Parts: sequence; structure tokens; C-alpha cells
Amino acid sequence: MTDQQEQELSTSLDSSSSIGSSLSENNKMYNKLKRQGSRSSVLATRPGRSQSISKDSQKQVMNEDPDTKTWSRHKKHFFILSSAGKPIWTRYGDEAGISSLMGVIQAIISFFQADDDSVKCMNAGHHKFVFQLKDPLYLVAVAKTGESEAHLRDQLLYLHSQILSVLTSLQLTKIFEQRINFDLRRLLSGTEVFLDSLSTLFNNDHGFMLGALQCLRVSKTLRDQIGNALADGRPKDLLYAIIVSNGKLVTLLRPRKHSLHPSDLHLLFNMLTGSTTFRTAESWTPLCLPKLNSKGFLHAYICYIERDTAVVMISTNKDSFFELSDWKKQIVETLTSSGALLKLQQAADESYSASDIGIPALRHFIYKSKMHIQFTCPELEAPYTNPVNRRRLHRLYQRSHDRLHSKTRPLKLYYLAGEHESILGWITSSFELYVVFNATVPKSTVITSSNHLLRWIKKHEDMLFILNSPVF
Amino acid sequence: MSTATKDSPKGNANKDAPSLGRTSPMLSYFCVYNPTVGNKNDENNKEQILFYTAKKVVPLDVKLRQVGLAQALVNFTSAFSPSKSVQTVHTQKARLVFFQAEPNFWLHMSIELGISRYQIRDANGKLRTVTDYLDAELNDDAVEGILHAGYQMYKLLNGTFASVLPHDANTASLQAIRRLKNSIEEFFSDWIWKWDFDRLESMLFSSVFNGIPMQPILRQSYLKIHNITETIADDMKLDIKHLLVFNKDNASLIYHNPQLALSSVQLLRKLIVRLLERWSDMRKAEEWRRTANEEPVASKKDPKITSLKSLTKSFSQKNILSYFGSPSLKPTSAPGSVPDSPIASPEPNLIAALNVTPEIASDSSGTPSPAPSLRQGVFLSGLMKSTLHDSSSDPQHHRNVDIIKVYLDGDSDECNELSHQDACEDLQEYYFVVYKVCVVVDGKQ
Repeated sequence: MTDQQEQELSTSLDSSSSIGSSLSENNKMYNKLKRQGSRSSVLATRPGRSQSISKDSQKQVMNEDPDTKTWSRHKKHFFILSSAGKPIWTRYGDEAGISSLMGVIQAIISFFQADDDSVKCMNAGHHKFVFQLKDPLYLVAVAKTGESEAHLRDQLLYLHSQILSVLTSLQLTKIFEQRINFDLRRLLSGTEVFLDSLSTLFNNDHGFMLGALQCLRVSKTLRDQIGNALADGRPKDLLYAIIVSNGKLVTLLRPRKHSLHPSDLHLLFNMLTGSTTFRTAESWTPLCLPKLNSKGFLHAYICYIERDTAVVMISTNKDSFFELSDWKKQIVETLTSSGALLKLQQAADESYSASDIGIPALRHFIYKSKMHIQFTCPELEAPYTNPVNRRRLHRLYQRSHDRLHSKTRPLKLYYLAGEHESILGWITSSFELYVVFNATVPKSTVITSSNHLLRWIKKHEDMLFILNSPVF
Repeated sequence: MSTATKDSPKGNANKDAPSLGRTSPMLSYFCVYNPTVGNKNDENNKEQILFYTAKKVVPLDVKLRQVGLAQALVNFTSAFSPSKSVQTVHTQKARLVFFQAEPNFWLHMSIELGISRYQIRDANGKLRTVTDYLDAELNDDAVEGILHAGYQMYKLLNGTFASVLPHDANTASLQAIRRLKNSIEEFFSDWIWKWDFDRLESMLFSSVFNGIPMQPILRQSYLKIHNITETIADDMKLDIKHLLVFNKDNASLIYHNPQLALSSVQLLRKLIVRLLERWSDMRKAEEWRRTANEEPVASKKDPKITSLKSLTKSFSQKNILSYFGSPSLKPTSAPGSVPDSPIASPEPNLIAALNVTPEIASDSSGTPSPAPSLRQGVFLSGLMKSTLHDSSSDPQHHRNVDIIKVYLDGDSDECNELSHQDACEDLQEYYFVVYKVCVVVDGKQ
């Protein structure tokens, strides 16, 4: 283990080795708050139980329930409850404190069900309440972010998939068939981290909205090198092998007939970002990939081979840990000797920005290649390094996506000129493109610049996307 | 979104059968309730339902359940959105709409979504009926606008709910509650069933947003009308507060008194449209009746009626007509002819709508009436209940002229000085007199 890793190991051991039970309780809460850190939610001190964390000296509240003043100031709430009304997970607040709210939700849902109807969505001022019923779970999102019902519903489905990935659908239905009042929190304990980090990721990652994955930009030769290292010496029960760097896909090895669904990959990436424990040592964990097979468990081997780069191996055999570990050593050796690993880390550190392309007035873009189900977007630079602007940009993308994909009136071309920036949305059979320009750019320039951008992307296609991943 | 229900395969349906039909969205139920009325602690308080109507008969416990659900939704959403509680609820099969007209008074309705049924062949080649609930066809703003429009119209004709019943209605007398219930029922029972949700989007500007078509006129004509209205206001003994002039054919606005707020003009125009419709319906019924009875009719002159007639004429007809003495308005030649829509006229036909404050209305002395046969206009609503006798017809063909009282926000002069939102709480009561001027071209009707 490198020095870095040792350091990280010691710090994580510190945080987890608790002295008194109250301390560990506080630590758990503290970690939970750090994970939940959506800066847009305004939090206030509650006398007697406050704890300041970061250099910002922002005080955060420990326990919340619908009675605290800050409850209505959060921009997006998520609730998961069982069909009997038992709380399972809530994004903000303590599960125990909101059980009455969950009861009300369950009553409302069952009221409509009695009439053979099902409630889908409610509007109140700026708030949207979206209900997703996935027996035996009910999922509710309450948002005043301006996101559309379709997006919120998508996010609820991702949360549901996350729960499935821990339990499998088979187990879930069986549990509730046997005991309808079962408290699912017992089975999920420890994995709420992932639900929390998923909620935060919705606001930062465009991949959920697009249903695609972001790839790291690396030269073709480097990618091929890594791919070759994977293709070599594959253990018998291996299903997938994935190299991830900084939340972006580098390359993956897959069976010829089964490609990995993007939502499964999102769950995997979320696992990596959601918990720091994977950084410290090799991990072996059972998990279910809902889109692949929602009924059974697979096993995942996760190990960080560089500062930000991890290798994830999915296997069908629960006893193959050592085999996979050996194979990982082999891969690391191959890559270090050729210097590929260092180059990879370098590439992960420097990402391209919009100004690198050399198109004036182009601020940011997202390009999704429909064929490869991957997308690329540059790093954010001024003015979007400011969180307010960044959020506005994110909402702008969401609004454009929503309008283009409207179920009743879908569009192919969409142009919105706003006060701060203008956006062009363009859908063809092979790609989806969203380009953001300065507010003052005339339409003709928008079109020529977008074409210019498309040419640039085409030229660099092999660097931006994974065109051929190794198969077996 | 669409949901598929597995029905038994239709026997003789062809491959790729076309749509099996479409049902329009229709009202499921509508209610007006106030949860503070009656015994608050009683869960099954039926007093809180001030009005309820549904497309089929519904037992009381179902009504209470629905109102209970409505309140539960309001409370649930206020926990997250204290400023604005629930407005619409989308369910798979219906749309629920809420509107809090006044503090604690709620208008609530449920609309069943339109259904489109069609058949497809699924993977096994079996025919399957798919039921699509057309959620996207019913626009949220439009259905909310319906409730707004209904309340505005009710307020125009009856004043606010709170004026009959105080907000915190614990102390309200049973009489007051009953009075309120009656007035609500009188208005809403007709009104709510008039809406065709299918054509909502085409009716948006006229019905939901109360748009006013304006009649373009020359500047000189506008000034002429302005002068006329000022002279009317000066000469008549009545205290006319506001005057509006509309085109009879399509009720487009020609002139309105600048002090009258545009929102009031919108509502008054709607009222006029209704009166016109009612009047023309009655005319048609009369025509039909007249052609059915071939007997000659003798006009019976009842002195009492004559005097009433002269009374009504005294403050309006001839005097007004003398002001409208432009050359194109020709008086009718044949006495006793029933005024009718003219075939052609160079000038638009006018309806003058007057708002008169109640105190002066009783004073009806006016100049003596001219020849009773001179008819150039007809009152659609007047200052007192009267029975106008058509001189050529038999006693059955009389028409009641009703009194219409309207409640408008205070004069806009006063409103402008204070903030618009909270200043005009008190409504002013007015009499609304509508006079329809008919131009009859010589000889023709």
C-alpha cells in the first residue's frame, strides 16, 4: 500500500473506531450530514444539539422533522416507505421523527387505490409531489427545484433500483409477503449512504437525465492498452470488468451478448463515490444489478489501483475473491510497467474544457452519442464555477431535455435565449446535443458554432468515447 | 401516461384494428366546502359541505370521504409549501382541482380524464385492448381557471362568501348558512355543468380568461358615444355610476367608463352574453309559438300594465333614444311591430348597460312617455321588476324584466391610491340595467 493509502486507512479507522456509543452516534450523524450536503438546502442551528463541521463554519441540524422551520426550506425531499406506511428512508431528517408524515402519505395513496386509481403527481405553487408506487415500496419526491414530473420519477426509480441492488426484488417481495409490517431499515442499515449520495448526484451528474455514461477522455492508444490488459487472463466466472476513473468510465470488458445497462453502471459508480471505505482496501461485496437480473446476487470486487482509478469486477461466483485479487495484481503490473497507469491518472487530473476547443462564445455543452450510450461534457469554467450559476446551468439543461423529450409534443430542435445564456438543443437519430452560449450570440453564430463543435467531436471521437470495448 | 388493461380479446377484430373510440373528459363531482362550518370536532360533519353536485348519485358518506381527502391533501401539501397549498392532483384516471376562493372556503372538483381505447397485437399475436388515459389533454391552468372564473362570476352576482358567513364560522347562524347554501346552489348548479372539457382549449380566451373582444370604432364615433353617455348621466335623475356600451351581435366592447376596472368589465360582459343568450332563446320560443298559433291576437290593454310600461319608459326609452338620434337609426314605422334584429344597419347595434346605485333607484319619476307604440329597444334587465307587454301579442307573451344586482370592487379611483391587492375588500352593490337598442330599417324587421 502506498503512503497515501496508509494515511487514508488510518483516518478512516479513526473515524470508525469510536470511544463511546454517543460518539459513534454523533459520527454517524456527522457522516450522514456530510453526505447529504446539498448546499442549496438552508440549515439552521437547533439549540443544544449542533455541530459545526467544515471551514465554512456552517452549522447543521442533527434531527429534523416536519415541525422544524427548516423543513420547508429544503428544495428536494425524498421519502421511501413500505406499503404499510412504515418509513424506510428519508433524505432529510430522522426516519423516526417523520413516521406520522409517512402515515399520511400511505393514507393518501390507499385512498386513491380504494377507487381503483393511483395518485401520480400533485402541484402546489412551486412544489411538485411525485408518487411512484413500486409494490411493496412507495416512493415520494417533493421538489421545488422546478424539475419536471418525468425527471423526478426517473430519480425515484433510480432510488428504487438502489434498494434492489442491496436486496434483490425477490427478497423484497418475499419479506413483505410474510410480514407486511416489516421494518426494512434493519436490512438496509449501512447502505443508506448510497441512497444519500445518489440524491446528491442527481444534482451534479447529467448521466441520470440522459441515461448514458460519461467517459474519460484518453488517447486511443492508452485505452487500447488498458483494454488489452483486461482481456488477458480473465478468470472463469467473471462477468464484467470495469476501469473507472473519477466517476468516469475508462474501459470495460464484457461478454459479447450482454452489455451493461447504463443505470446499473450508475449504481456502481454511485457506490464508489458514496462511500470512502472502498478506497482503503480491496472489497468484496454482494450486489444485485437490477437491469441485468433483479432476482439474484452477483459479487463485486472493488479495488483502487491509483489515486482516483478503481477496478470493479463482477463475478457470478461468490468464492472467487482470491482469483480476482490475483488477476488484479497481474493487471496492475502490466499497466505500471508500461507506464499506462500513470498516464491514466494524468488524464483523470486534466480534463478538457470548453475553451480548449477554440470556438468563441461557447460556454459549455453536453453531447450524447446514442449509439454508444455515452456522453461527454467539458469541465466547468467561469462563470459556472460559481455554485449559483452552476445550478442554473444544470436546471437549464434539465428544462431543455424535458421539453425536447415531451411525450405529447416532442421536438427535434430547441433554442432558448435567456438572460444569462442561451442554449441550443438538438436531437437526431445518432446524437443529442445541448450547447450553451453567451446570451448575446446571434442565432446564425449559434448554428455555425454548433456545427463546428460537431465536427470537432467527430474528429476526436475515439478519444472521447469508448468505441470498441474488449469482449469475450 | 398510458396504462394497459388486459381485456378478453375481441372476437372478430381485424388486424391492426383502429381506435375503438374515445370518451371525452367529464366532470365527476364538484363541491364547495368550508371546514370551519358546523361542529369542527366531528369527523362526519356534513355541515361543511356547502354545495355538492356529481354526475351520478352519491351517498353522504362518500361525499364526506371526498371532502376529507381534499382537506388531507391541503394539509399535507401545506407542510412543505406553507404559502400555497395544493392546486391540482394528477391521478391515473382523474384530475382533482382545488381553489381556495376565500380563507377557509374551498372550491374543489374532480374531472374524469378522457379515455382512448385501441387494440394492438402483442407479442403472442393476441389482440389486446389498450386503455389510454389522456392526461396531457387536460391543461392544469385551464381547469384552475374554470374555478376562478366561476368564483368571480358568483362574487359578481352575490358578493363574497364571507359577507354572508364570517370566516370563522363557528358563530354563524343556521339561517345564514342556509342562505349561503341556497345562493351557491342557485349559481353553481347550472354553471358547472356548462363546461365542455373537450373544447376547453378553444374556449380558453373567452371563457376561462374572460377575454374581451373590443369593437374597433372611429375616433369620432368614440367621442360621440362618450358625449352621449355623459349627457345621459347628467340628464337622468338617477345616479349612474358606470356606463358601458357593447355591440349587440357579438358583445364586443365599444365603450366603457374609465373608472370601471377592467376586471369588472370582463365579468359584466360575460353577464351580458348570458342575458343575450337567454333573450334570444326566448325570442326563438316566441317565434315558434307564434307560428304555431295562427289565430289573430288581440292586444289587451290593461291599464295597470300600461302605466307600468310608461313607468319603465319614463326613465329610459324615449329619452335615451333621443340621444341616439344619429341619422342611421330610423324609428320603426309600423306600430306594434315587435323589435327584432335588423337585417342591415350601418351602425352597430348598441346595448347600453348602466350601473345605478340602489338608493336612487326607487325614484322613478321621469318625463311622460311618448306613444307606446314606439319601440326601439328592449330592457334585458331593469331597475324594478316589471312586465313588458308586447303590444301585438296576447297576454302570454309578456316578458319579465328582472332586477340584477352586481357586486363590484370599489371604484378604481380609490383603488389606485392604495395597493390593489388589499384595498378593494368591500364590494359595492349596484343595480345593473341592460338596455338593448334595436335598429329597425324602414319597413323591414
